[in-house]
Amino acid sequence: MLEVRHLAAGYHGLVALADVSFGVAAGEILVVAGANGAGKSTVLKTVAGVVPARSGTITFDGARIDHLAAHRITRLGMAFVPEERRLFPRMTVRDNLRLGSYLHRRRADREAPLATVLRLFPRLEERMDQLAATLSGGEQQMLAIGRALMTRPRLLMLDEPSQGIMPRLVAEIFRAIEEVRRAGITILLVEQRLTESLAIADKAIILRTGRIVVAGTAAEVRANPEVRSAYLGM
Amino acid sequence: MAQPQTIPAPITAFTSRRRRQLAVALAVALALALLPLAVADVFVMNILVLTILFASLSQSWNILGGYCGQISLGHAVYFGIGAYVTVALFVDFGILPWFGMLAGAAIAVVLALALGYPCFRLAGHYYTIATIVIAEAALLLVANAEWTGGAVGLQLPFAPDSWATLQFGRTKLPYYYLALGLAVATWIVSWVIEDTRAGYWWRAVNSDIAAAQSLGVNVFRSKMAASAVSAFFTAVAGGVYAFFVSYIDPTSVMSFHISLLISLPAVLGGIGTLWGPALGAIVLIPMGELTRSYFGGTGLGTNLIVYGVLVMAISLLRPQGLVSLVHLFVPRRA
Repeated sequence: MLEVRHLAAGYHGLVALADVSFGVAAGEILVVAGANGAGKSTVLKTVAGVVPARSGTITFDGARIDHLAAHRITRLGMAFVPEERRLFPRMTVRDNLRLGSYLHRRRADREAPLATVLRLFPRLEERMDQLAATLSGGEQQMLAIGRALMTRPRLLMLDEPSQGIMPRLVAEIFRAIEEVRRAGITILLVEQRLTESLAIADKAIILRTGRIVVAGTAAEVRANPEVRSAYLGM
Repeated sequence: MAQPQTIPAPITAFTSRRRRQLAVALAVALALALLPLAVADVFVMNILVLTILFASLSQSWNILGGYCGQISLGHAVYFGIGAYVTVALFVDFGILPWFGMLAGAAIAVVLALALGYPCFRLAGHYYTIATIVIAEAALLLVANAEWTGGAVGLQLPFAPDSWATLQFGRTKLPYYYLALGLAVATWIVSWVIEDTRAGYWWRAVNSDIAAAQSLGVNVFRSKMAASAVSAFFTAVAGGVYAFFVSYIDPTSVMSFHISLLISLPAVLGGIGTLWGPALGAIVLIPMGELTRSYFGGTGLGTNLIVYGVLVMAISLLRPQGLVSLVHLFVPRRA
């Protein structure tokens, strides 16, 4: 579904990614892991069109997307939830969700994903008419994912969804991600929490200073001795 | 308490809040329609017309500045185009002002798009600066053009009272209802926009460009559309104003002062709100007219000093504008 080939990207002369290649098949969860500054977020931002690719190709369903503006990539069916969540703080939960839905013109298409979102995150239903700014960190993450799901994506890109969330809710977020995949949505997940991520992932890549150092199925990556010592603390 | 819902509440509902807004607007419009029965004084009538006209203008400005967050301090360009085109078409070709206003509005829309094309790639403050510079350039162009009468301006010929030509020598009343009609129209446009996809997208662009893009919003096109709607109604109001005062020159319809009078009411009253522009105009416009009449001429700039103090006070005490004072008396409901 998504194919990334020899991708390079950088900010102001700094190389953030060099020769990164991977693919995600429909219905899969791919985890992108690595230490801080390894380039995990840059992978997502480049695929989402937020950061320009310097070289290499990105194809989605066989069509090149590496030179498209961010909003056009979203319209193709890829939703990006950035690390900072970027909710509209002075809008209600309902209006945040509504903004996600406007990608579709028909009213029925816009209302349809709401039931799924509220089933995944029942807390949001209680908070529908509260301002997004008044939500807790975990609820804000739920809303950010929910808002992205309102665009009815085929590929969901999540950047550190567990960051800044109390531990009890982290499990809930990961459960939700699994359930999103069960609904047929492909997931590209950037995470620091490797143990939890590998538990739900099909495949994983591990980045170090902008390059892929380990790649394989979740089981292979979990069994890799270097990963065990450096990332899983075993 | 509320029953657990089995069917999720729709995300697009005609909420009681919106119904209430419409009811309040209807009551206000009715009251304003009856107000002239109680006002005989020409001076007061003059202030009322200007207040309602600038409430409408600021409401139009608010569509771009308030909802979409693109702060223009050059709306005098659209206002001036509306005024000049309407008057010039009438004086030179005998085209009725009703059509002249539409022509002026169409030209203003084209100009707004032409200016937006380069300017909306500029972020934040740079856009605002560009609008000021463009408006100043336009002022010079108009002051030196022939069809505008140059610095002397254009005078409407004396004609018998008629709704077709919008000429009324003895009474200001028709202009009052013209301004009120326009104010109602811009309010309704704003009210509708608030509940449409465009309105949501514009507010998203205002709140967070990156987030808007991640939801598929074409930021550039959103700014262009908001700007076009805003310019359209600003130019129509310019045409109404020109026929109300029956004489226009570059400084009276295209100066920076006009841009301020268009933008400040919304800023003072509550930027990006439905009632902010009107509330701001009720405070600012009569004050400007009163200081002008007491001190003569331009009012020695006292109105500008008071504007400055008011804007500073509101940004310190009530950053959400005068409209937020209402919630001191009326409890907030969903």
